[in-house]
Amino acid sequence: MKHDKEAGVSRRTFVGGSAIAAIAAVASAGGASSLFGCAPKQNTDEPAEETGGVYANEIPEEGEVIWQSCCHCGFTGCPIKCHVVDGTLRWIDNDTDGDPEFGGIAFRSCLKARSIRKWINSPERLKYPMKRVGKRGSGEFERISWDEALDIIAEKWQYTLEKYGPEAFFNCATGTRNYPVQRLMNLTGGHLGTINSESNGQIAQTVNYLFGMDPENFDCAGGLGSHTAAIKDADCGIFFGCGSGESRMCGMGEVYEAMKAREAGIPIAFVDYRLGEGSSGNPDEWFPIYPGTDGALASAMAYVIISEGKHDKEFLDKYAIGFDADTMPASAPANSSYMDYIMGTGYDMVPKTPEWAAPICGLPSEKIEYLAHFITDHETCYITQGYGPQRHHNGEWNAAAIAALSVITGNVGRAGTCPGLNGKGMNLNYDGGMWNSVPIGNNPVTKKISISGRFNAIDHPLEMTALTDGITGGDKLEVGIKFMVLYEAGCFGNSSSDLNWAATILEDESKCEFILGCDVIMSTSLPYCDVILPDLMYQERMNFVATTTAGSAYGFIFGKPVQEPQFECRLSYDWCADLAERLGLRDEFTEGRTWEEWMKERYETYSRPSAPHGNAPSFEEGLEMGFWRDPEPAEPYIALQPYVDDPEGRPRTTPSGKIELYSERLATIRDTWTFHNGDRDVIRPVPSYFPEIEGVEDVNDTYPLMFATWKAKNQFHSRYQVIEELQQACRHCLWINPIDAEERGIANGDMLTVFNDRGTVQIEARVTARIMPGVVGMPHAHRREMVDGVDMGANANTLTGHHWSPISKNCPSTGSTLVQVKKA
Amino acid sequence: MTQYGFYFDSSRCTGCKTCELVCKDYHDLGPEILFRRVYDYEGGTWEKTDEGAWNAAAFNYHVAVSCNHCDEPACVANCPTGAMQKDEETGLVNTDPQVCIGCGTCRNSCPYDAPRIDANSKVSRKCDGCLAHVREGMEPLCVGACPLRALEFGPIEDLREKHGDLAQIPPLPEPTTLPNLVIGSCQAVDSDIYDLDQGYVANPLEVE
Repeated sequence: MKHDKEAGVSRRTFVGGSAIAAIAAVASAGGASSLFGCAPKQNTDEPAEETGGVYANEIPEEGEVIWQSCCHCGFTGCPIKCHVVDGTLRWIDNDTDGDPEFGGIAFRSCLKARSIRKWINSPERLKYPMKRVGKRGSGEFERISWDEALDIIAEKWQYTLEKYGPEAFFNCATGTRNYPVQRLMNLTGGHLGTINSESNGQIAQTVNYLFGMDPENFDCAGGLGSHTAAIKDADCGIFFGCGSGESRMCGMGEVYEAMKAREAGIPIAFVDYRLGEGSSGNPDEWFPIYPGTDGALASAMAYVIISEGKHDKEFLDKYAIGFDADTMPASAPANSSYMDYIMGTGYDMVPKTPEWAAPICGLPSEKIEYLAHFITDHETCYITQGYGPQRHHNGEWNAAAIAALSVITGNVGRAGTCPGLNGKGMNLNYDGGMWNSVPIGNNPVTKKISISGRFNAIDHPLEMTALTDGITGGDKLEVGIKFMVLYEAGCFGNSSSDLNWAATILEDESKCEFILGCDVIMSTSLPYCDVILPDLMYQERMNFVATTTAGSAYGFIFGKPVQEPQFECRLSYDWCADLAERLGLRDEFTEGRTWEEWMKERYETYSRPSAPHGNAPSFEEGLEMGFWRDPEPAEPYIALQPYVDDPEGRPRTTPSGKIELYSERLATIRDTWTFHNGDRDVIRPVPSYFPEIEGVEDVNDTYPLMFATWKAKNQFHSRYQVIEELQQACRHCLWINPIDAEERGIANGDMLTVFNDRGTVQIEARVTARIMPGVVGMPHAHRREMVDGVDMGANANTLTGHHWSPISKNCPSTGSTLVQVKKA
Repeated sequence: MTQYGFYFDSSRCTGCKTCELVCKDYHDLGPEILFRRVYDYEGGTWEKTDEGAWNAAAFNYHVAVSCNHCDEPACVANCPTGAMQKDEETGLVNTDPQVCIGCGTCRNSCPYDAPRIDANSKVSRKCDGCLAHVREGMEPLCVGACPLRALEFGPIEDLREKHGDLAQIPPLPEPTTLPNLVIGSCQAVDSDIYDLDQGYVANPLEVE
């Protein structure tokens, strides 16, 4: 194996001094730091020659300490200590009051939180309301007043309502800051809803058919299983497609729980197409498989387990249906059990042997056997999957096949187990996300589309039906999306696949007639908006957060503004109230309450009573403290425990009340729906594997490389991207294996063109053996910058395909994509 | 004098770079100055098997270093103006910006690439172990910020007693300047499976 070392620092030694010229050539960025303009503490040490004491670097004043939360990473809202000097945020510390020892509880945020000063004071902040003056997507806007902006929005609102009705309204948002907008929409008749989220659309459907939920605590909802902290009581742990070291990377995240397990001597394994940061330094834990083949691997592991008689027949007979002929529903044909699929006595009649799976997954058959024994050789195995395996065209079945491993080995509902689902975060009651906001009220429009269906619902809504597009709450759409709100990073540049196609739909003003954007910084989505409103950051307003962890601790953040709002940025609740007034609904909207009064009401009503030990402070006490943590760690929550403890008293919400390895409902869907992808959408009523579109089995000479994406360490979707320090620390690169790089003459650091029929991006190469041969990948949601048809910003979704999964109709937007790569 | 130093655990570090950003935020460094760096050291081999799968021996680990406040600091020895000095009380090393002429000799001579020339002030700047904190009995900011507790700071004798005296794993140079650094090894380093000599720093532009 040849390795690319030319562009890297030579092994074992640094090239000291070699970069001086490069550093000197970097233009001064003094303008940015002068923004923060607070005087550093003067160094008062005596000169070196008199005392022997050397010069100490200047350090900032302590200032006033105000607790706030980070800006959310999809999992945790870390508490941060904001040090404010002369009314300006000067520096940020993490929770320094916790236990600093390894294993102890301290809410230590990641790098993103430590950059918020640069974001809140960024020259790129949206400062004023603006209206579009160029064509959609051109990015040409002019400043307008708040009154003019709200007048335009109110007029379009009334017009849309009268001409098209409430079904034409649609919300796209990340987080909860758009709750005031949703509340207002619900007051004017509602809006077209969405089923599940982009993050978990496929696995949420898997859970629906396989596990159902507990009727009281709704466990497994969204594909979430036990707290990751539960692994402490396991004898081993296996993580499928978990980017713990990137997406749950803080000091209270999944990565910490996995590390604690490792150091406690609990062996862990990561199954992924890349060697992620969760096993940095510990590569023995890595079992590489091709993207989208988790279902094949899990099926082959099941083959080993069943053929060796190591499945838990007693558990299966008591708690599940469909494992074998003993527990099949009457409607099921002969030889259609899960075991028939695995052993090759039903369905495709192929035994799912390790030898069958090896070329599909790229993992040698002896390693597949090893993983099967890894589970069966231990009494308790914590089995989990991230949201990666399900974000594929065949995602529902990847998720089900992994979860089935827990079921057949009885690793369900007892200490140390997770039912093969995503690690759940410790969370208390809140209004959605982790942020309290105003109540959104009831949406009178009951019709829902898959979240990936929004561009279809703008482009060709009248073709969309329940049986072809998974619409719920009605047989078909009566009208397309005509009035859309993109809040925060919005839908367009983050999670939508095939962005070049999506752009053509948004550019056509006859389709979605009005698009309102609201954010703190210009994003990929906002150039397609007709009016843009400048928002406040969390740290500029009262901000209540139930901080989430991987399960061993919890707390409440009572954030107060650290700086006065800048320019004309406004709290969304306030401008929505002004908009409500124009629509004749101010009193109904506010119910006479300010934002702060809503925060208190929601906290006292929902959040405070949910603290398990009943010891949470009053809202006023909380504001005084800034951050409250329960001194007693909570015991990890175990999914399906109520059911396993009391199967009759706490049946599942599935039709049988049991775990369904055979689902009659899936069989009905197979027989009644019409599928977009024809024969490629394979519906089986049992956990199984089928080859995804543009997956390993579709690799061809034109597009020979599988393309996959993950969450960047330094961004949450496109958020945080404006911070130059973060971009410098974690460069946006395409990972490519040295074998694939060598074939193409690519060296580490080369500029590359990555392309397929849908689009072309340009990006720097990172030649690394940490990604499988035949697979390339990059973090998703980098800002799109189109120049002559090439995305110079390298947003992954310029390349991804719009291949809906069969059941949830969710787009993969992280895999199921083939590309070619060459030097730019 | 009590000589202070750092401990770094390569088995715990996930390369998250929180230490880098904490340092930048606190010391108000822009994107072009990096006191603490995280080197991504990786490599390995892939061989296709007869059944069409892959045998992988790929590895990665991170090494987060700032200044190692060496017993025999090359930067001090080579500084033409005497601006670079070692603190008599703590053994921490720093430049006096009033004396420094920004010639870059310190960076050229440091085997760890620790001193950096500030493009704005045209003088050498580097990690001083948050000396102002240490003089108050507190630890450097990066240590208390590490989400996974991969960093420790303290009297070097205490760190060596607790963690041993390993001071070099690739890509760090031979410890000729007697760095006050203790490294916690990791499975990638300890295992016979991985050929560390074939490894390389995969993120050279992130540590410049």
